[in-house]
Amino acid sequence: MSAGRQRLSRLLVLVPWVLAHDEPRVTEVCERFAISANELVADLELLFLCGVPGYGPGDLIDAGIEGGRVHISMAGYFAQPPPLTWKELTGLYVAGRALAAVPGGGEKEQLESALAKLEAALTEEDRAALRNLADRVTVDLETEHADAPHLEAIRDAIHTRTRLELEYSSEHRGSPTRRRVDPWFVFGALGHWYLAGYCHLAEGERVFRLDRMVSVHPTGESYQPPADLDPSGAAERLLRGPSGIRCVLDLSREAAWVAEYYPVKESRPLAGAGVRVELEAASLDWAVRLVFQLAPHAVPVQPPELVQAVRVGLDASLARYTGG
Amino acid sequence: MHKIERLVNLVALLLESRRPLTLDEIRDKLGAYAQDSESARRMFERDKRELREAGIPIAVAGTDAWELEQGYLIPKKLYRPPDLNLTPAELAALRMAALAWEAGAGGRAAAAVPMVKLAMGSGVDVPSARPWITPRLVGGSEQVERLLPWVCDRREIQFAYRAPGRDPEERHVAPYALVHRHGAWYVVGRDLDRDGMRSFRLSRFEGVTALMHPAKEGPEFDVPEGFDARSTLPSSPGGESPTIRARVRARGDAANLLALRNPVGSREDLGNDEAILDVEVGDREAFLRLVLSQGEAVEVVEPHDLRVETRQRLSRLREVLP
Repeated sequence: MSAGRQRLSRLLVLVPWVLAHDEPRVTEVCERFAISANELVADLELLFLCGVPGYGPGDLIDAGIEGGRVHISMAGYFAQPPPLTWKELTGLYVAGRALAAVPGGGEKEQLESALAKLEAALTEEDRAALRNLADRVTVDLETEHADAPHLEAIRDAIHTRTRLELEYSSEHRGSPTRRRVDPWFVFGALGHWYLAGYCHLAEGERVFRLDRMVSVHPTGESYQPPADLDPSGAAERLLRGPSGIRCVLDLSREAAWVAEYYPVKESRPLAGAGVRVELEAASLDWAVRLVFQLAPHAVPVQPPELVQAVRVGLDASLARYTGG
Repeated sequence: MHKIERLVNLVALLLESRRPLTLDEIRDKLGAYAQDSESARRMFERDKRELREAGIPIAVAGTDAWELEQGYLIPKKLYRPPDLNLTPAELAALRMAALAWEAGAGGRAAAAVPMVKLAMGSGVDVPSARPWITPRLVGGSEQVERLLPWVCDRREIQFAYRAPGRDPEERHVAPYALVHRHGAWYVVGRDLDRDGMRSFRLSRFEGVTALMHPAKEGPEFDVPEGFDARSTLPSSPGGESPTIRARVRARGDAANLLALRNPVGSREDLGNDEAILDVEVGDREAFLRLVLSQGEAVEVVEPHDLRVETRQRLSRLREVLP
């Protein structure tokens, strides 16, 4: 959606919400509409210029901030937000049905009753159109791996703010680690479920793939999640990893999908059908594993440590197969 | 005048008016449209379209009994969200859906709008607790938004498609379905030039997709009975193949990882932190990638062709390494 359209939609909803809430706090409004204080100020300044034309005194909307509270008046005609748009309805419907199908997702009952209410309010024609659309859109959530057993335990721990003990098998060398983790939220990305939280072993924020958890146990200890947690921003930040190692790889056509699967900083075509990509790896180890799993279609170019590590690893691996 | 300001004023004017207003009256009151009446009309039509897309019910009606002139207004009884009598728990569940659909930059702000509408319609407050789980569907993206109506109305589409490592090619497709899998969106349908079922990843579309027969009305193709979008799409970026059994010798954590992915397989510990594992392989490519990613910690023992292929892939990489 374009920024302008999104802003118009927000304004037409923000005014009635503020009117119905009797001078809400700035922080409350920002939280509700997921905007910054600056965006709110800009919205109110724009509203201040609006009103029912005639433009005599008293025709214009009065909007502003006083003592940390938002006030809007002279906007009685905006007492109601506009109806739900078709796009909003279809998004809720498709995503709602997909979520209701996640095993261990937990909110199945509430989602199904909410979707039934959405459907019931439609005309017969719209209902048929909505069902047709739902038949045309298939959403496979990240359910194909053996993740589901842990989802329920993790959900309960997040709801009750209970610290977890994970037995976690990362792809790093060495045996699985036991770690205590404060679970914040679960997100889906690149075909997997991830748990984001504070790891007491690493003493920092970490993400854990659910299909690499060997076991999940509540510890009985409770924790406080950070107040300013933003799941959508945090998911992206955490996936990128704490520190970046700049890696350059030459991908042949068979491995070119990597360029759209991982966040690639730069990509340019090579002679032939290949592509040279630059990407940021969380660790050297991660980059080595990526090159290995793509073998022989990804050739490491930079940094030299990566090339060296791949060479050493390959020699060790090939030694296992000397017998044929 | 700022465009959004003009649109807000137009909504206010049409909501407040008790009778339909002609375009001349709107121009007169708003003072925001061009002097020249033809460009003013065009501008107004654009605004009207944009407001309707934002869900504003603008009605057209005759301005007098003889209906000589058309006027516009927003009926107050239509300008309100539906009262669905949603409970706070149902709203919280829908909020998870809204956030999943709008995941991505600015997603939370986009998700807030329908939620406030639904909550106010039902006379309850939007739950402010963060959802514990957010799949990232990114369905609110411009591409999905554009394609959805065409898929629903069964209209043929054309687009430039850039398969990995190839130059973009023009494609003509009857889109049977939109599919979200492994964090990406695909169009699944019949490739009209190649006359076969194909899937196309939306992130590889270049330029804008377009209707081929904009003048035609109604559906342009039928979706075959029993069509299943899920089975048309390859299960992983690599491809798919029938299930086979494989035996691997793996060390330490790699053994645990393989056992974790194949909970049904058997395991024999060899001591010295090594184990022999029998695993079911549904997707040969994905399995090879998993085995290879573990480096020297895993060795494929059987079947022979899989062992040979693993060795060949490793040695081919070794040969090209600088």
